Amino acid sequence: MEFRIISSHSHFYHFMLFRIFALLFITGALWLTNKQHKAGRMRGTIFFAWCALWLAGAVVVAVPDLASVVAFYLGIGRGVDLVLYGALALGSLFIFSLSARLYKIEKDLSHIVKALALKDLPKKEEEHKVEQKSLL
Amino acid sequence: MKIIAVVPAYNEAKRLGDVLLKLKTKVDGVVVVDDGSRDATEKVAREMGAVTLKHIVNRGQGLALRTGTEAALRLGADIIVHFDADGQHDDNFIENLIQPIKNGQAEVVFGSRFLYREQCLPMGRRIVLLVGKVFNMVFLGVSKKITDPQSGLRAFNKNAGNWLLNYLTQDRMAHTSEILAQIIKSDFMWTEIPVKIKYSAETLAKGQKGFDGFKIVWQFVRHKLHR
Repeated sequence: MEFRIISSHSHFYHFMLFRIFALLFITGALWLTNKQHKAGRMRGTIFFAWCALWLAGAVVVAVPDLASVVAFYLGIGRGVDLVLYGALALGSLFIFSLSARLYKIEKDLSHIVKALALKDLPKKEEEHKVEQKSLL
Repeated sequence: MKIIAVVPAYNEAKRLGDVLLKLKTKVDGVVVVDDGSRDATEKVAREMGAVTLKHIVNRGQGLALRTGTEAALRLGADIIVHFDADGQHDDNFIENLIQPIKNGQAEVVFGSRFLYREQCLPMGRRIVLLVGKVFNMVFLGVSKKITDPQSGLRAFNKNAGNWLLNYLTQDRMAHTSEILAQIIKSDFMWTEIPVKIKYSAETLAKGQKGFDGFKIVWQFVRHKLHR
């Protein structure tokens, strides 16, 4: 019986420790998000989306049973499954957004490369005319 | 009529000289676009007297052709011929390629290796091209009348050239299918003529592989998703 009590307390303290670290991490993430937004490096919609994400994370960490309740109503089963599915969906969204940004950068790069290549063309046009005349 | 050939080249210093030597006798001007080569491609092109443009980084054949086509139009081209730098294309077919445009029978002419009876096509390449043809038909709406889905040897007049520059988006391998699809959708008169493609171990090693088909599909999907 004594062993059980110690084990239960140990589990409780570990759990509390995890929650404290997770909440500290989320607080730090929120602070960084806010800093990016204030510096003008993050648009309003993206800022609110990140804030909503971190706050949802904080709620799940603070009240873990809430995830189970939501999962039950969504027909997913366990709360941890809900968190995993959510993480997967967000990860996919993040990759898609990165891919879109990369695509735009590539298009911009192509535009620059083409413009630079054509920059010297007026000079080459003259050379071409001279070459044409010499051929005649 | 002023005919200018556009030759996109990437690491082709070894073969480009011979290609340009023959090509110069068949057209009024040659524009070489060095697509970020690490070898002496640019030097060879300049020594051969071609108008040489340089991409500072490699961006693919599609963009190199767009750069070259724009340059050719600025140089006053009436007909533009797209010609490969690796020696696969036979310069003897250029006259046949531009003839329908000169005669007013077509505005765009595609070379087709499948219409050339004596064409010897490696089996692997034949399968890749068949898959390409089905993809072009199903997903891009390219007419089944087009016999060669990946022909890089083509000629078009300046109107078609100007029009194409506004509609082409693919920088890399997917440009061939895109050019076909755009021309078929447009009101330009087009035709295909038989051309011979010269395959060698070197050109086959550098050319398209089976896996490249997936890359082309991915390039189209990416464009649809992010445009």
